[in-house]
Amino acid sequence: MSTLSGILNIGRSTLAAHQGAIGVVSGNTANADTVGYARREVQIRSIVGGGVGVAAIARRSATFLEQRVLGANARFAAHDAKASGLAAVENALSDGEAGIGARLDALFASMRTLSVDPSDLQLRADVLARGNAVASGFSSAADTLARERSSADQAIGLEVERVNQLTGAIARANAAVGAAAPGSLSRAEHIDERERLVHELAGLVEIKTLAGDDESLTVLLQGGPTLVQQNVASTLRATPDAALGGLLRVDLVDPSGAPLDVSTTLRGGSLGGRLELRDDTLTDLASALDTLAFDLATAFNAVHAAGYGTDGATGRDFFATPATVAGAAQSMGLAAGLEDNPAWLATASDAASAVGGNANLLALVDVADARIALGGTATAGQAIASIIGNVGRETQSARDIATDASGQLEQTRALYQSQVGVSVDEELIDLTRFERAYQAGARIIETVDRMYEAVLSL
Amino acid sequence: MIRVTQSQQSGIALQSIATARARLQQAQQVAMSGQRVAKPSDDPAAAARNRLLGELGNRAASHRTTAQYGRSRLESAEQALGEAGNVLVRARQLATAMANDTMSASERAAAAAEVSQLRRAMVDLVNTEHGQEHVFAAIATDSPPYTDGTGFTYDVDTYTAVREVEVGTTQRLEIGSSGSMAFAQRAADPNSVDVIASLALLEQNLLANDRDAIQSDIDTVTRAFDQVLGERVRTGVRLEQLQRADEVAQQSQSVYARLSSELVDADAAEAFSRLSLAEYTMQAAVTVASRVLGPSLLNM
Repeated sequence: MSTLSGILNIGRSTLAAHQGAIGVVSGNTANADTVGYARREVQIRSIVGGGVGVAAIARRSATFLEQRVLGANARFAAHDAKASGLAAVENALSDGEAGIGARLDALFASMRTLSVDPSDLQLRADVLARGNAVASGFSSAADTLARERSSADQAIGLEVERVNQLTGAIARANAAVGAAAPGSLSRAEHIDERERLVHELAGLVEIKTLAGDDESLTVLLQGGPTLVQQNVASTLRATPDAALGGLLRVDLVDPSGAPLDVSTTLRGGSLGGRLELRDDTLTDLASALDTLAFDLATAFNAVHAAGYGTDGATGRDFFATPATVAGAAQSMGLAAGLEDNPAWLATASDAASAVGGNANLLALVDVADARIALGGTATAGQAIASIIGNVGRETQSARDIATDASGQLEQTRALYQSQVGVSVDEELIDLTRFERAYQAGARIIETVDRMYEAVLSL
Repeated sequence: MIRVTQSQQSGIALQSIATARARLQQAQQVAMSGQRVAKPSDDPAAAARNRLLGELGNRAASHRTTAQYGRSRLESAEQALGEAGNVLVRARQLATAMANDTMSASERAAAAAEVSQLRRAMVDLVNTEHGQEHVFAAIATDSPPYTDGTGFTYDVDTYTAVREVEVGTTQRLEIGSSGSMAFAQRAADPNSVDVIASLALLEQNLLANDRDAIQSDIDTVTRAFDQVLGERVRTGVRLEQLQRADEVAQQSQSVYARLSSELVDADAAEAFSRLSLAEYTMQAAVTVASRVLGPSLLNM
């Protein structure tokens, strides 16, 4: 049979347990919209000798869904970064009055007009101005591509620094989790903070996490290398690499100091997206532009050099001869001296008709229909259309995948939140429930008090 | 039963509003610009195809310009040939009149003076300029093709062809008149006549009061007239061909513009109905969000 003081203890334990429970519910309610906050659940157990106590404060978790959120976040961030970078390039390469295609059309049109009266100095000057416009169109587009690559490179450097800050913070959070008592509010708070850091990290690089029995978290980079284990973090290192034209190479440096080049394997997260944009997409576009500029200049020069200017001289180039395919677009320009000497424009096909002949001009106009590009399979105009189509497809694909990934991310986050998030309705019901229990505990103490009074009045 | 949490509700509401706003912005862009494909990523295949159509359209416009410039040049030549024909008609009239036995030496000397003027006029016509070049000069078009002292300044047997230009995707047309064919005696054609020399000979025979020679000159001047007329006819044919090429290029330009419009331009009715739909969707998203985020047990 319970003694009065035993019953009093039961009342006291009821008050204490439910006061704690109301504290937890209050914390949940206050953090209903806090990013990274997972609902705490009070586990109330009966204790020996009657009464109740708080056995543990459990932090809700959903490991499988969390992995999906991390994956969706990395996928979205990668394609969003790529789509943003491509938007500027798309404008530079798009079709329009100032596009390379329209400029090339204008060059051929000016040559057709000149072919009517090849000795007209104004028409000759117009052809040279149009040729210059084609060259500047190529170099301007190449500049834009180079600028976007450089911009992506700068962002890569900044994001590498942020990854290192985050991995260091996750390692410290791991240590803090280990130091806090299991089932304590303090441990749950450290886990919340660590989760927030991990989610931000997943936006930068694609990662996978493994939870230990001691609630420590191991963070793996996609493909397996370890980023964080217990309280030790590896770092990413960005160093200028001559093989990349002075752009940054990204190495993973483990705690022993051994570097592993991950520039070509990092593809998820915004860092991966920017690496793919810089090293694959923009490089391919720049290469296509360089190849077309080289092919066009070479084809024009071959025909032009065979013709004669009105001064009777032959063997001159129209465009400055590109030394190599790489950089041909950026360095494109009229041949030295040509712009100041319209007479050098080789319109005639022989010395006798140097003044008045237009046969070589017609041969230059024929370059428009010659399959000089894409390995001799396409005209210059078709190659430009192909570049426009390619940049459109790359941008559209990145944008569509980013939109799709954004939807998936929100859906997965919603599922995850349905597991670990806070429902205010639920908390208010719990609040009422715990309040009632607290009132019941108080009634027990009040009853015992009256019982004591009854006993003392005997 | 699935739990519905606060951040889940606010996340879904935010996502719905963001999606509706993005659709509204896209619909606004299409309605304002009138273009379905404003940038390559809107429809990469259409953008690439539109570039090719743009190239064809620009080329057709260029062909029109070339044909019009060519016509202008040919019209100058055609006018000069017409005047040359008039000169030769007058020369033949004079020769026919002066071949009559009743004409005196002084009358023939007076006719010789007029023929001399006609010859100088013919030299000017052979040296007709259009823009910065001489239209009957086969080469060295910046110099007169005929000088009084030396005759033709170029080899009339070698340079009989006229300049060609591109006026269609696979079509080149002649845009000149041949000075050789119109005015020169060529080795390849025994019936050809040096027009200016024939006038000089007529002038010489008139001054010499040689009736028989003048009679013979009538035939030479007639052949010279026929020769000039022949080149004028060819020039007229070239003018017609250029006119047709211009019309074909104009039609092509219209076709390419229409095809381009079909590819990239938005249908106005569709664009505005999509805009209205996007506006309704946006209003609905905001209304639903405010309703969903509102009620909870806190309101009880």
